[in-house]
Amino acid sequence: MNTNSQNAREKILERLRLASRAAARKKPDIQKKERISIQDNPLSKPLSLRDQLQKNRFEVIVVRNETLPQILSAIVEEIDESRPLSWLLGNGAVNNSIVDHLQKIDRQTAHQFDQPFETLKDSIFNDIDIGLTHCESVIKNTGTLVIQPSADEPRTLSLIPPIHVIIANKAVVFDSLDGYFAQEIELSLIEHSNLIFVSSPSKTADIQQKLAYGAHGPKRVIVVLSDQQLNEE
Amino acid sequence: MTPFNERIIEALETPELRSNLRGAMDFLRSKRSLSIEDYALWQQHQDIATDVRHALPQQLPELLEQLEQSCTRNGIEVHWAADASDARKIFLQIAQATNATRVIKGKSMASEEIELNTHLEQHGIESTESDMGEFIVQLANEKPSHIIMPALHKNQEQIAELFNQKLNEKADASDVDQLIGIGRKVLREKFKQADIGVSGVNFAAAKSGTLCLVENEGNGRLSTSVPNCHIAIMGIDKVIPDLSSLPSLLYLLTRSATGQEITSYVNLISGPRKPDELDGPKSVHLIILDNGRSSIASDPALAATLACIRCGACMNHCPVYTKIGGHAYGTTYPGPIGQVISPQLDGGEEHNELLNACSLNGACGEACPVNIELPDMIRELRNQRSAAQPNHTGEKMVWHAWRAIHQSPRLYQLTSLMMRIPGLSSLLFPRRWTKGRTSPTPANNTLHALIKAKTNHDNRDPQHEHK
Repeated sequence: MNTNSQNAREKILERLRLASRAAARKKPDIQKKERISIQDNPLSKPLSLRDQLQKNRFEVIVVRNETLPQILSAIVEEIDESRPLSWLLGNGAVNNSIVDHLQKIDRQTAHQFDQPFETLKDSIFNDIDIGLTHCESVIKNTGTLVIQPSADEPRTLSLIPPIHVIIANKAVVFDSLDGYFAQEIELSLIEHSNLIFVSSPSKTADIQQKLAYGAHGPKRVIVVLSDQQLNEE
Repeated sequence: MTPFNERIIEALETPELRSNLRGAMDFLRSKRSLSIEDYALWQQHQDIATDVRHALPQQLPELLEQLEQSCTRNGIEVHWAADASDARKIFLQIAQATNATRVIKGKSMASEEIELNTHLEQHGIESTESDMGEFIVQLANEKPSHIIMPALHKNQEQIAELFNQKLNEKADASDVDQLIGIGRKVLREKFKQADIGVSGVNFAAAKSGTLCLVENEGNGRLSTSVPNCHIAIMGIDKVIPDLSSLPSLLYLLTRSATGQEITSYVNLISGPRKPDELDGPKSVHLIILDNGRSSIASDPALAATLACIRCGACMNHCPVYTKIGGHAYGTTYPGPIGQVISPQLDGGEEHNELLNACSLNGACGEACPVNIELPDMIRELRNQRSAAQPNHTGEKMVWHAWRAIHQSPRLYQLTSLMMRIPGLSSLLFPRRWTKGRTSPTPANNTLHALIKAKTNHDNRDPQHEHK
């Protein structure tokens, strides 16, 4: 920190300390709004996880006992593009194995994020169609997938390619954000310098309030879940 | 800048602006009310958020020091700026030290406050706004007219015309997807080339040293992930003790701002790229900006405005904002919250004029998710201002007479009678007021007389039922 910033720091904190002491002497009473009690609200019945995710515009694939090649074929079918597709995946044993299986499917080419971003930047921006990441936590009532970028699965994997595939069939399902924050957040923060809560494909309503998908991030997000997580029987 | 009164007239006389505003306000209000499905839950979150945010003025010094420590521990470089000029200098030093020539910006009201773009351009650094709304506003050489939806004063046709002119693209006004596609294409190149990414901060957790950013487009994530260097700018009031209250704050913020249950992305940043990571910024800087906020903390009448979470609900519900839009205010933050904080943040006596743009209807206070009593504050500030002004004897006499009339039923009746004498009532209205308006014609019967007649009639008619 340079001297200027140091001086500003002292000045700001000194002023705030004075203000804080004054505030302590004269504690303002917060006027909270009058409470309205509501008995039962039929509107507030929560959606199932699948419905919530679909409402948020995720494309959901449900698997039961399928093998990895079967799951990957189901994803390719969901993507439903006749042109050749270029995938980008992370590193580590699980991703290596996915890459091997993807290469065997028609018209699919898979690459790995195995060099610094600077080296791969042009190709990630220009050539990659699909980024694949895993997800360990899903939040039911907001339809949110928690993405934890790491050395194996970098930040831009889930961000730059126009299609994002999230493998979440082993994820823990939390009822609400409150639950996730109470149980998981501290540990996640220690391990990850970036955490992303994804609740829909990238979108905007900045032009005359008309909703458009694919603003700057992925236009399509495909999520793989297991039937146990959906608990729909 | 033209005086406030003239800016208001100019806005009111632009039919296109009024229709764009009406459409946007109706949209935002109805989305907000539809998103509050479970009111009991809303109240629970409101309690938590209100307690955390209103405790802020007293905790600020400790929380900011703690935030500095935690961020430094996480590898985020912290800088302090007493005012806008400090913040600009710090930014420029970082940019020059890394030989940066191109900057890409996510949405940040703090950067608007310090007029970062103009400053960078003066020093030969290109600065591009990447939020679609901000991008449109920058192309048009304008400023945002709303803190959440910066370009809501423009319609589709105006935006297509702008893209045709400035970007040399064949933009189709009837196809929003195509318009957004053009923005995406142009800005992707900018993301790729940028040396520095800029963001604001929605909340900064002191305990863990975490910056929280909320957005839908993904431009905030790109700005904070792709360039080598990320600079975040935050007002001192964005700090919260820890992340435990974040779910409640998000619950209120996204619903109040755009009627969403949650935004597409909630981005938690706790540091730069780690040694074993392959992407992310190699350095992260946090500029903590005061710029008048500490004097707000020192003023007991205003301190509660530091609880503001910048959702924009007060402006969306303000009948004045709805008619004149954000530009007429001439401030970084328009609408009710802007009326209260702008004299402190932007400085200058002229901002006191803004206090007149209020009908004291109370809608802003009603809409505020964190219980900031904006109507009380506006009233209090008006009191302070009129106390400082020389007495207007004429005005005082009028109000004394008004009080006397309303305290005595006889006097009230007498005045009502007199008002119905033709010609007399029009004398009571100031000529300046009647110049552009017809003076109101008093009704044939007073309200008292009408109620009396109705009561007599009901009593005579036993068949009559009150419903």
